[in-house]
Amino acid sequence: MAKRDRLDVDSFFSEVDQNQEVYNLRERLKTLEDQLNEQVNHEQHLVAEIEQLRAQSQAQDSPQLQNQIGELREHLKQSQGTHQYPVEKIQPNPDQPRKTFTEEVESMALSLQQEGQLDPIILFEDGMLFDGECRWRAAKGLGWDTIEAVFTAKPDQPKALRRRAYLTTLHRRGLNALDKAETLVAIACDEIPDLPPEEVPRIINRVLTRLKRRKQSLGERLHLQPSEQQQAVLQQLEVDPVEFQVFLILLGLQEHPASLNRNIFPALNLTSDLKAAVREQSLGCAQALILNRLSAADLGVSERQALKLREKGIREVIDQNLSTAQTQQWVTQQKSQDTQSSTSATRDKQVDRFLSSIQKLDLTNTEASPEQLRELQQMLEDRLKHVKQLLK
Amino acid sequence: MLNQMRLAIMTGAGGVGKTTLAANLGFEVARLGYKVAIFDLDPQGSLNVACRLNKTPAPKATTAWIYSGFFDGSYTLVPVWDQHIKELEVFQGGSALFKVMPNLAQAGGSHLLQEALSEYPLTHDLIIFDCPATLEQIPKSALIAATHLLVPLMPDAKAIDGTRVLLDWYAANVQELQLSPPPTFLGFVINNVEDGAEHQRLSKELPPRYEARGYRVFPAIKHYTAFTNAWSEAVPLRVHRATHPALEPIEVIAKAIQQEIKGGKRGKARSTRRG
Repeated sequence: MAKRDRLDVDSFFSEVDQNQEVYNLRERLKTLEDQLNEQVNHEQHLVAEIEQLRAQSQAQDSPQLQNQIGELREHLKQSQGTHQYPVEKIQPNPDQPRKTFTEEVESMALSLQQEGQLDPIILFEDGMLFDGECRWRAAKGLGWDTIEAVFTAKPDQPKALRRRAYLTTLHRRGLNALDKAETLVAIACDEIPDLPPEEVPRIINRVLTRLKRRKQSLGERLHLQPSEQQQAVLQQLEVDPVEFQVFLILLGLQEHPASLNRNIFPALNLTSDLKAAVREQSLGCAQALILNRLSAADLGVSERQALKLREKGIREVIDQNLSTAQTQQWVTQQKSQDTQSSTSATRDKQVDRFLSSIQKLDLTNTEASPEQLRELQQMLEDRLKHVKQLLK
Repeated sequence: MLNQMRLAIMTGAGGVGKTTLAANLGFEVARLGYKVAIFDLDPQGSLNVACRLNKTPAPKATTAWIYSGFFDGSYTLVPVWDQHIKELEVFQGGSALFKVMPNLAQAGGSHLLQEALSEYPLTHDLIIFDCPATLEQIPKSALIAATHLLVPLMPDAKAIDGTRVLLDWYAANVQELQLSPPPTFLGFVINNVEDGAEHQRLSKELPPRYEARGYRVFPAIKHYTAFTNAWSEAVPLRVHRATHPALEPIEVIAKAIQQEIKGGKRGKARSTRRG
């Protein structure tokens, strides 16, 4: 009787299915995006190679070049199909000056008339020619309205590529602090041409310190907010234009400057041996930062000794798979050993005097008799025995 | 070579009999001759009652130690019911888990359980994670560490909807954490089925629908006062009553676990995605 109030199992499961569908679609979208990225990267790679080949040799019919162009054309045909594009809208490429011989165009016109267009021309998205000037001129001469074309994107500037590469790896764990710090600095320097790389972490630190002194803050979630909001907040904080730009670039990459300052940029201060170990032996960045405290200045030893100690530390951390706490412990231990050896070594003046006089002793032009020298030898040997005993 | 199974018992709703199932399953699998540990990840620590263990163990002797950030591989495993069975141990939970919640909320916190078990591996054939009912950081850490999930549910609206929430949560986390391979669903168990018409209707209507979506559904376990009595005596059902009709469906699950341990194909998650 109260059937209408009972849980309808099917409608419940349709809800389950809907949720599942959302995740399936999201997963599918991600796969497609990855595929697309891969395709675009492949395309961009080919375009760049072709341009390089063109720049190197003037011979347009070099087999290698034709090969690459052929590959790009096939790739574009497969990934997007061909399009009919108005001949009138096509622009020649000013960056690729090419001598076109009337003769060539005429023979191409003949071929187009008899066999039709065999290969599509390659255009940039704005209608600028990348490949097929001859076919285009011939088609124009024949009064064709449209010509078969495939499209490719203009090669990205390296800076845009760097930014994109960063954003795609952004949400992956795995990117270590050092790589992350260097990439972020490079991106900031791409955008602000005159900025020296070492200034980027300094600016961040300087501004944050200033804000702290004035008891101001950026807010914890600023990096997740829209750009206008970020700009509005920065404008209120009286920062100079370069500082403003640096902060905005990092926030635009969804990075919070405070967190970078604390966790990421310190990796830039690693000694070169530690940087190498992070890159080549996958030493953890956190552990590397702890080992970084074993510096010559801190330990009061020579650079070589400090380097040796760090090498030992790197081996220890990697072989024993030490956690940060364990690494910290190891470093503290090394440091205390080090101070022990230097404080316990109270120096005896007598020994010191002997050391300096023996250093000064010059036996090259000595007038000493063999007898006297033998006496010296005997004495030193006796003393040496004694010293060895003391050291046991 | 046996595969270690790490089985997280999870639900989207409370009071569906997780701990009872964990204890009885642990007992049954140990009875088949395997080495079993039950990790009580519930701050309620109800497993302590089920096995009549010290209710206030030192924090270092509980699973909270794993999440403390100082974990050194010392699992304090307490043998239980050892007069009846060899090699069933419990890593106690309890209120100490409340104190480590901030650690768990930090970045990487939900990976601590998985990291502990790979850094300091246990030789047990089966590790059962008895999770709290709310789907937050602790179950998330169990999801990351687990190879398999087992979902008990009661045939009522609240528990059924809990499985919807759970499936949703599972998919979101597998995607967000990029778990590969994600833990497999060992299956669903309809638990505590009573004689009332609605319970009967739902326990008939549910299995084919889960099965149609690629999930295994184990035979339903009826509600018996014997479970309550066994709890009071702090013994597993089999010790309370050597022959009891509820033992059979539990055995079916134990056998399924045995199959996985003995070398069911490993790492191949039964995908919840349908092509």
